Amino acid sequence: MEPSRRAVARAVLITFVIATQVLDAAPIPHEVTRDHVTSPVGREQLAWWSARLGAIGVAIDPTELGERVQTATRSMSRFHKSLLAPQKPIEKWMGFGQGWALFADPDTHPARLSISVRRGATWELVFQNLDPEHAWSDPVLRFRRVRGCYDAGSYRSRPSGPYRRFAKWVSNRLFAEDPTIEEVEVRTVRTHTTLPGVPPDPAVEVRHVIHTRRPSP
Amino acid sequence: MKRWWWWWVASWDRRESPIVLAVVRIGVALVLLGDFLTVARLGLVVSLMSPEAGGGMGGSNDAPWVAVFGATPASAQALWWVLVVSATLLAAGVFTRTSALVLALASAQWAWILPDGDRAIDVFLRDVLLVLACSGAGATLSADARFTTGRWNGDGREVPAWPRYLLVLQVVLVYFTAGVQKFATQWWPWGGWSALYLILHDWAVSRYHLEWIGRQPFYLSTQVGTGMTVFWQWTYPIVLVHYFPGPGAPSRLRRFVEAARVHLVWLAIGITFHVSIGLTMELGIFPWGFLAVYPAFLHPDELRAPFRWLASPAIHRAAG
Repeated sequence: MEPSRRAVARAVLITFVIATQVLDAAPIPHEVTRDHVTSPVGREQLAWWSARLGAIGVAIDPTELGERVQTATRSMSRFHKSLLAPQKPIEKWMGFGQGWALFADPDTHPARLSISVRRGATWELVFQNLDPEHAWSDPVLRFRRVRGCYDAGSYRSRPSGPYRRFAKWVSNRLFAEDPTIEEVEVRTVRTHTTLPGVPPDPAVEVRHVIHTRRPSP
Repeated sequence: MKRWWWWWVASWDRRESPIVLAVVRIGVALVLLGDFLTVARLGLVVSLMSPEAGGGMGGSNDAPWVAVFGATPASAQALWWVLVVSATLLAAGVFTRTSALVLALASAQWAWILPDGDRAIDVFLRDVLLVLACSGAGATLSADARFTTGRWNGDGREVPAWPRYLLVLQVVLVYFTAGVQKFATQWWPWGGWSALYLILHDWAVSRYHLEWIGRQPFYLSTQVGTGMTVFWQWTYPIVLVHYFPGPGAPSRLRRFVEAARVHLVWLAIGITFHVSIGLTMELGIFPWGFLAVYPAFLHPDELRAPFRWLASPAIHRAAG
């Protein structure tokens, strides 16, 4: 039996929606930036691929591979964005989207948030991720929406805008809570997770340090 | 070609009981409501829903909500109330379609104000809300059904089934594209299947200090979990054979999928996957938001089957 006009119209509309959403979700790599390729995770991945490509006769050192990856992903990402440009305003207003690279790159060098306060000449650690001894405002700082503000840009060479605003917000909370606090330090500590059987790496890298002094009254 | 087009049109023209869409509607609304109440309990309403000028963490941006209502604590609190009221109305099935649309639009404003606080699960649930806003999810288990038919569970009329199938497609798209974007070596044998081990050592997302998972057999279990995750995500589209059976006689693949009830097996793996995430990782509503949409994978008859079984005379006799 021939379908009704209504059914055909609905199918056409749904097909259009599916096509645009599949295009949005297409597993095209995001733009890989210099910060990505110079991060420990990026360096590890490039070294691995460089060695494997060398094994099959494609000689390319990690630095050159990194540059090619940046160029290629920049082009792909721009092309993808240009295809999606017409629907972007609607997407922003309605809030829909289809980017699902969930845990695509497990972090071998995860960042640990650390917050200290200064009273006089003494610094005191008040918060460190997964440290029950230093757990000031732990439920707040580990809440997923707050975490997004300080953790999403942890691979960057410099603190991101959201991280800076987060640091200011945390400092203001501490100043309001305790009038004896004179200065707040927010930083991330990059550690190295080694696999079982590999000696632990105790080296840490202190990054994204932001000091905030109590504003003058 | 024409045969396939007609099949495609017919696939989106199916009708069924609204019970499954209603269960998804209630689940999604309650998960979101729980999230909004958590924001209030933690004292984060102004912090997360206002730009810096209003005392929050949002950057200077052109969010229409801020443009209209200003960058003030009162504006942030008003946005929170819109979210809470629309989620409550959606759960209760009051002005169901409008409530779903308002909830999605208000959540989009929140994302606009603080993009870094807006996570994948928030985008996913807005996608779901927009589908629900076009559906008959309010035709049962709702105040709307009570107003229009005099009964909370409606008058038994069928509604278009396409929103449920669209939700199935949405979940399949999430899992499959998440799987094929797992480019990092740690997801693969040449990276030692070590992805889950590494993720569970990430300070920001791990729920506990899990040092002991480096010992056997725990490390092996993370490797098995990594392999299973990739296999399950890459193969998720196989369930579409069940939801969109092609025209003509069933193929060997379709007969296998139906006989082995692959869609239910993949669903059971998904439940294990999300519950495990909920127990070991600090991802907020991520696992529960997905599980709230899982009933969409069940036909209304499949959803009712356990209740029918419990009510069957054989069970009553066995229970004495």
